[in-house]
Amino acid sequence: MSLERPVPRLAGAWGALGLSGLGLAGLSLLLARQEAPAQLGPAQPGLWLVGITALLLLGAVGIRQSAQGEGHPARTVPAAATLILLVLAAEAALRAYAVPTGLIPTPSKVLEALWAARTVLWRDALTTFVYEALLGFVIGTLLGLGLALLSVRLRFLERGLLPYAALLSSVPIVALAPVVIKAVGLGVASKTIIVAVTVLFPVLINAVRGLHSAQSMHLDLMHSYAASAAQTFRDVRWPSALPFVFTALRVAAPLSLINAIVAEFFGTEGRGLGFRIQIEVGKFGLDVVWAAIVVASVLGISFYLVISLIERRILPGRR
Amino acid sequence: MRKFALLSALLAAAALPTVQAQTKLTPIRLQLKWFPQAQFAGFFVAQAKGYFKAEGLDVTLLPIGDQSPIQTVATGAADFGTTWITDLLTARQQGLPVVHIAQIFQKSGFTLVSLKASNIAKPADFKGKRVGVWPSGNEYPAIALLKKYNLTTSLDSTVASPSVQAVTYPFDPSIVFPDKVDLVSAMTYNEVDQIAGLGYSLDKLRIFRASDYGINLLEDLMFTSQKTLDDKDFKGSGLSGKEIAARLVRASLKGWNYAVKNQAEAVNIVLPLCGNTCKGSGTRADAKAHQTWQMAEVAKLYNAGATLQGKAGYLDPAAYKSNVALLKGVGLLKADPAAGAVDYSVWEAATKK
Amino acid sequence: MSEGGSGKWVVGSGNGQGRVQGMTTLPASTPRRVRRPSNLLPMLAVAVFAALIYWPVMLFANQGAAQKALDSGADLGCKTALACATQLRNPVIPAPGQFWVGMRSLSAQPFSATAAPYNALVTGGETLLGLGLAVVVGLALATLLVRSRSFERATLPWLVASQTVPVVALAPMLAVLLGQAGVQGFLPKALIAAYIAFFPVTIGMAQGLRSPDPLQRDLMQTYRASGPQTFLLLQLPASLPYLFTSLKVAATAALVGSIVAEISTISFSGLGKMLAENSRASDTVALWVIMVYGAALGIALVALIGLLERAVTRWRPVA
Repeated sequence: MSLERPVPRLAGAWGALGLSGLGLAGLSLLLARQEAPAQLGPAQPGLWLVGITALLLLGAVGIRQSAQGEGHPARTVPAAATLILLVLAAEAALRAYAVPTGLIPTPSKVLEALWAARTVLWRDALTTFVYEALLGFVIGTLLGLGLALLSVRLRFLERGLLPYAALLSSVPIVALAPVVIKAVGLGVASKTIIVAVTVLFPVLINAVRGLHSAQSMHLDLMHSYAASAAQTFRDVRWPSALPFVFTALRVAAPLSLINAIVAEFFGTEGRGLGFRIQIEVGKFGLDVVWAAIVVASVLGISFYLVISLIERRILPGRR
Repeated sequence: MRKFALLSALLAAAALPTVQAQTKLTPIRLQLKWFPQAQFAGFFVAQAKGYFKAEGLDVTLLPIGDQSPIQTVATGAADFGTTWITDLLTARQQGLPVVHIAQIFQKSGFTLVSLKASNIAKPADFKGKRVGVWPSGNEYPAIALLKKYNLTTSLDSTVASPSVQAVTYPFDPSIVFPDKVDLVSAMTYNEVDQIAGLGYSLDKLRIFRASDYGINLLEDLMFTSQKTLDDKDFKGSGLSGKEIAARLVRASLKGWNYAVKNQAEAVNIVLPLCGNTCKGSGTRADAKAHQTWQMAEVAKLYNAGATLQGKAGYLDPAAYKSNVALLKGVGLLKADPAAGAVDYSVWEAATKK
Repeated sequence: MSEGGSGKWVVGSGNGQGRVQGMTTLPASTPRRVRRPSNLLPMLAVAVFAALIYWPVMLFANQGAAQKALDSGADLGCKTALACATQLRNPVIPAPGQFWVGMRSLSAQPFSATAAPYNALVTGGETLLGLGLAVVVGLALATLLVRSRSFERATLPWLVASQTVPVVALAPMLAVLLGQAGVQGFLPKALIAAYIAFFPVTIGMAQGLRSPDPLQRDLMQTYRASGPQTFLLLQLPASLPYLFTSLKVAATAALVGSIVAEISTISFSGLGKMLAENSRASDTVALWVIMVYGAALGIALVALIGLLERAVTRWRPVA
């Protein structure tokens, strides 16, 4: 399948990676020494870019070699190296061309901002993640599951409600947010509601699909055992629905955080990552903006991984 | 050379409208700070009356999005822009090479508005209150006013327990006022009338004009990027960037002088350019009435300071100095801006003063 | 990222449907296609029910707002809160009459520059262009992912992580950078839409390209088909259903992207521009009208892709 030769040449890989990384870091340090005047145009057109590109290519060769084989390093090193090298290259390039912080901050400036604004970002993250995204996610999930159970019991409701759910799940959140915020207010509640609504429909749709997915053979079997409806539900319908529900949850988890942030753009009471991003963009404090984006991304990935982990615990049979 | 250019331009404007269509106009994008409304009447009048064309310019007036005009100009998405002085100087501090070339409004129109019933009599009473501010660089006057009275807000990403709760909202006072904030941001020429339209007539309101409390942070000004000013041959026009800037300023000031003298006509020029943004709110929703009010209020900001001394468009060095001192005092500026932040030569070339 | 973390992202090789499905959805495996009675009647019943509770909810919500306004001394032109509830200038929820007036004023001349239908079409066009770009980029990336394991190992974790980045927060900055490169007008919106949509498409396509089972591959080999031939005749057609499923997921996200891009860049038309204008002009009823148009546009886009899918799958020899 893959085009690479299976012979691992790890030593060469490490050499190339190290050289590339050290080169880029060295370039950045060198550039930090000379205080270039703020200007948008390139100082020495092309020259720096050639050097950075050459070092990146060297790194790419290293990444390619390190990806050989099936060992632990071959699975983790390429991704880690890609990120580190790209960040270093961005640092060097931004410094070489003296790009002002007000346009694109260097990664080191973002790190500094991350540290300097840590208490505020922590509080913002708490607001956005816990009170808006997480709470909305839980409410949306519970409502979705509840409606799904009702729908499966009452076929009339399923046939009347589900088509709307499918339609409403393709409503863009940016069109929804201003109206909800105007109606509910600027506080946390409006964002929680928006997140809950965006989680509700996919969960509902997938849960109904899942509850119907129980194979008729199993259902017949339960019937022949004279199992009660509750037993059938617990032993057959519910387990077969869970994978579907988790698929929806995994998609919804990072989205709930993103949606909370987007909703904050339409009004807050002065807290939250979306608020921070919006207010700092206006001040050209793009280092803080990127710091907030980093925080949001880390939270989003963690949320996704936690949901995946729970899924694997609950559904041990599936891989 | 310049005289000749001006002369030919004047000739073209006065007598030969067909000739100017044949002479090649230089395309210019001017980024406004907001959506089309009477706040920019001077520019729209200059456009409608052919003042720009007479200077050999083909000007496109760009409406704003969510980003700052500074960003569109600094990156070259627009050639010139209008913004507030705080915006310009903070951008300059962040390394963006933008340059002030003309000052349109000589007085600040920023206010904080409360209900008289809420018993807020002076800025010191703001403590512990909720203040509604706009995002995207429009919050500075409020911050400066608060800081002057030693109040801190959640807008500062380094303050953990602020003494005033800042509430940001997307510009529409009806979202927050009066139930969710005690004080709301309002420009004399726009939101004050919108609030009145919500059913709170002016006698029910207490209006804190920032300029009355020594916070006269100058607003609408014209600026461009250093790159444009240094350009020897602006977009192949054969003219330097500075000359283009001077022509733009000259035509704009001519438009402004006309607009403030002929306000009804200026409003009629603006109205067809509006989307839904020229409307007031509630009982005062009528676009024409709202823009007429706006034009009158804007004229007050234009006809102040240097304009009264016959120097429309001039950034009074004393006013500038006090603005810088103010911004340094409240910590928004860490040092004096570089001398290149303001270029007087453009205004001098434009007005021959 | 741990080994489990990076190993998990492997696109569908071996176990048929890889973990990455979590970020997109599998082609709908509709269980048991049974001919069911029409949903029309139940849907109508649900609609009638919604309309019936709408009236009291609207009255209740607006009455509260009106009471507050009256208490703070506002002159609304009506005496009691109940009387004011249907004629508030900035209603929490617009009364049907208010909504109808707003709808008519924004749709009366559907193709004038300020009308909602025209602006919805502009936004729809941008989104479709963005989706088209996303398919091109997605196909290229998917091919790389399937063909080169080192590319997959180096980039896939970050492609997945990129989905947890609030891209919409980046849109204003992206727009500014694109503006610097001279990209303006229609294109930045389409590019941002494409940026948001490329990921589900990439993952969907990668799954699709890997979907042919070994038996089919062996068959191609016995026919002595070359690599490109196998790709064109087997893998590409097999990936089509996956493409359409992922496009449906991507469509709403891309729509959000282009609306946000309209809000945050220089725009002369589009639903986003209307949204920004009207939210700043205090026109609550207009916001509701725009929300309805945004919802309709989202639904229409998904329906359009569904139609396209049906046309293509009908044309395909094997289902």
